[in-house]
Amino acid sequence: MKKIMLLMLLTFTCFAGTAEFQNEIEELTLEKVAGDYFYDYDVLKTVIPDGKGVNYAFAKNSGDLVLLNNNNISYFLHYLDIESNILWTKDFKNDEYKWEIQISEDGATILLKILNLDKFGYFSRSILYDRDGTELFDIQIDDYELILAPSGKYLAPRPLTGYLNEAYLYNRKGKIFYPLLSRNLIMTDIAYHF
Amino acid sequence: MLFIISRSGSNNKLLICFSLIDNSCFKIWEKNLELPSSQNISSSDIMITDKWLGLNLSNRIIFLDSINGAIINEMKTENSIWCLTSKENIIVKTGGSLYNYSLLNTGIFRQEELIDYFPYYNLDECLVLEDNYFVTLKYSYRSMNYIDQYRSLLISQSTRFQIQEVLNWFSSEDSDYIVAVRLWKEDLEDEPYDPQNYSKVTIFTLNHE
Repeated sequence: MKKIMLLMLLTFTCFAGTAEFQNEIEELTLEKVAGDYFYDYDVLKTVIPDGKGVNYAFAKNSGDLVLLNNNNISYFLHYLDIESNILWTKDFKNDEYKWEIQISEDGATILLKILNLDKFGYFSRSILYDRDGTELFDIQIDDYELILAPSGKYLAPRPLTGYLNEAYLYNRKGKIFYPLLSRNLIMTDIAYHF
Repeated sequence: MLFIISRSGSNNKLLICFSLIDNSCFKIWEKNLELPSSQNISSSDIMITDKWLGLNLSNRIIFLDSINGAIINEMKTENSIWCLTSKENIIVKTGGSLYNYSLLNTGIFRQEELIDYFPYYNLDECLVLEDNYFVTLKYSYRSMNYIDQYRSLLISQSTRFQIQEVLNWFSSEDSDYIVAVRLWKEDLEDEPYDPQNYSKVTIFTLNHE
């Protein structure tokens, strides 16, 4: 009986070992990746901005980077150029629900979005900045959030509660027109290409 | 162009294409996606390039002409998550396997299987730099709270590596700059706060000499 048990244990160990081996994957450090795979490149800089990273977004054409970080006290919005120079940082009190960040392809428009819930339902706060960090607007909207177009010219609504049957479009100066939808349609989501 | 996913009274899912010119909005075309009422799609299921608009409908990916909404191609998939790389390749994760598809004008062909492990992970981000694929996978599960776990992979011609830090990558159009962004290191919940373990941006520049 002991021999059978031992044989079963040995067989199980072999199979478990094989499965583990199949899932094993060699680990690399970033330094090793740089040395072995970026041999035509030099490390220009390493930057350690304040806080733990929550979200980030790259400007596809300019290469500018916005980083949204936090610690126990504050949220930080860092704006870095393509050479990782921190151009500006803004900090906010850390007592909100969900924070997101978007940047236009040219890096000229940045949308900081804070989503929250109260007894009346979901609402969003959208703060728009230009590349210098100047605030363009700061608005609070019930039931929907704004999504920044890649061009930075427009912001369109996305429902927070599953659907919308009214929807406003915004530009960098604020609300521009209504409605996007006819009355027999319900918007569930949006996507951009401009 | 602005694409709105909409629902009519009879539960049909519509994709409506608007053009935005000088603060005016014009409807260009509308397509009934003929999906069952139980199937929802969102903006993350839409991929848009200058030439086409792709829709990930879970069991198939269809490609529409963004000018008129006509179907130009279709490929069968299964519970797929996808990602468009800068070189107009599509990386598709189906179950435990990750595939690279190349786009040839309106044609598509499966090029290669990249990995066949991490079955519970979804595709989060990907970037192709020369022959190297930098892929970030994400696994969300609920313990006491919702927890996201990430894997950062480097897939080169014949080898697959896991990078010890979870990194997101960016490459400038001319490839002169490569940026690696780390948001945080995993498994540090009980450790004292040390900024060295969190946000870090590393930038590489092409040595032209």
